[in-house]
Amino acid sequence: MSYAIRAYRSADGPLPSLLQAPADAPPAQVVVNLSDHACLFFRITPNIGSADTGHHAPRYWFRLGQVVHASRELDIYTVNGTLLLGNDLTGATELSVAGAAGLGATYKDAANALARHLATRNLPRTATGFVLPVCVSAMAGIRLADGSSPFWQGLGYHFCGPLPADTLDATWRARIASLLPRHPVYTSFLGEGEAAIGGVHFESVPLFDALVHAGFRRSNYIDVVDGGPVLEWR
Amino acid sequence: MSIRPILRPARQTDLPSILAIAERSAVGIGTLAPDRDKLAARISTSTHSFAAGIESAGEESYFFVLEDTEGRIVGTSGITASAGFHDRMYSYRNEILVHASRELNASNRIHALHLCHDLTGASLLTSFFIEPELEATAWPQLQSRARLLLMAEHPERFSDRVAAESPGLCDEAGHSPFWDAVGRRFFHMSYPDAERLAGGRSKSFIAELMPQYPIYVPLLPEAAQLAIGQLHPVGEVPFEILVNEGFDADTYIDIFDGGPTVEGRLATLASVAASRRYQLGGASAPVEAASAPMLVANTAIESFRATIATARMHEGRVWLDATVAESLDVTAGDDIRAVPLNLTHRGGDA
Repeated sequence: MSYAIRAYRSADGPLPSLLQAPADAPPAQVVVNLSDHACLFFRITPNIGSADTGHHAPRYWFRLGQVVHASRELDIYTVNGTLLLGNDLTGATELSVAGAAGLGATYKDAANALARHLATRNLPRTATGFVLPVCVSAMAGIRLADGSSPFWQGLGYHFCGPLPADTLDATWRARIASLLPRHPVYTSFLGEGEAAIGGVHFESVPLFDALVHAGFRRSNYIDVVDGGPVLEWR
Repeated sequence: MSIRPILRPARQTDLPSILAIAERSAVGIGTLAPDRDKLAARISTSTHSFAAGIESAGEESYFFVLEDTEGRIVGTSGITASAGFHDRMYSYRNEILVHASRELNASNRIHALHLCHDLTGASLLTSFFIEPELEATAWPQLQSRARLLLMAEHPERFSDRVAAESPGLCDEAGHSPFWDAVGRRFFHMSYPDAERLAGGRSKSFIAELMPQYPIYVPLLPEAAQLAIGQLHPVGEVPFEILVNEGFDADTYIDIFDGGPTVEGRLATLASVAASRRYQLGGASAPVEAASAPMLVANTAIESFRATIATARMHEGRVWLDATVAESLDVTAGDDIRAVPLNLTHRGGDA
């Protein structure tokens, strides 16, 4: 299958509604053209969470960590997971939202094309010396049949209350950051939310599989709302 | 013959009685383990502490017994001169963080527990136990507050900061909801098992394995949240006495069972601030001398004695019944330190 990665053109046809961006959203969009009848759309946003995105809204993630408590004398060795709120992936390029139009288009082909495109890049470094992945992509986290998020119920709910209808709203997300815990949180305190850490929403599994197949890997970051994993390309 | 309780330093000959008391004290965290060797060592340390010339608080610990005139030991209390000496004393400090978002018009008070060593070096009031039938009498006042008279009389032996741990909530089997929600996640065993495992080592051995980051209380199970700062019923009598003294009960809790750790400044504690030195008068008191029930103590260290008595006071002197003076081992001309038994209705010294 032939493919091309290029910017979106109106001749490609109407964008899936998921890709309709707010007026002030960064313009970068990428189309992977599989054939005359089918194309896949991704949005690739460079330099996420930074001042020049126009929002002045920092992006937040929870970073997964571990702490070891050990005592040889007491024959005790426990490893506990931690979550720390931060802005580590600021400045990365993000692959967000995907849609397909037409027949015969698969995530796999698009992901592979994307991977070849990304493979030519170097690992960017921030001014602080932090090494960013070439590209990141956040997968939707686990939701129950009633639409609730076990991760949110275990953590965010206790600081911010119930989830709104649109949890992708960047403004809301930036605002809740000031309500979320700033100290490391032991994951064992999250009850049933702990099992949802890094869990992928069943509707996103095909995209997840395609990206992993193309070379994306799980990172040590999760979404602050639903605990979905952030995939990274290095 | 009236029963007059005496609070005095423990002796090795008291060991069998103290052991019997330790065996009867409640399940849960306490400083009276029913272990003969440990108690004997405790008495020995206490004897040395009372005997030594001390210029500043160090590794001393003082152990008292409450005795009736028939010689029966009916209670104990103690003072640790400097908490966590050679090491650290761990507590959780209650902190309130205000998380606010102007844009969302939201402001939340988040309760967090910060592990700290603030109380390291404070003098600790410990080991309070009294026979249950005596709880409703005035004797617990003697047992607890006479320690403060000693501290007021010999402040160089103690810190200016005083604290006391109280047992937190646990059920008959020794299960503590706070431990189950917090400590157990790191030890994977019950608290009594963890304490047993640590053997004779100081509690700080266990403390080093406890979570070091602040703990967000809203994330704890409800039973654990409710247990924070809650007192086990056995601790009610001594706790109330300390709160009436002016100890603060809102800041610190025990890191294992969540029980309240009260703390205060020695000089501003009610019994310390209201206590006075008097000279024991001879003969009889003048008619104008005021009379009041008092906690009275001699000013000695090694032969410290304290009791409850009706005293008559006038112009810096105090008159006591002969039996009281005898039980305090004082004679006319000796110094006495005394404080009204009931601080809300001061007997008043003229």
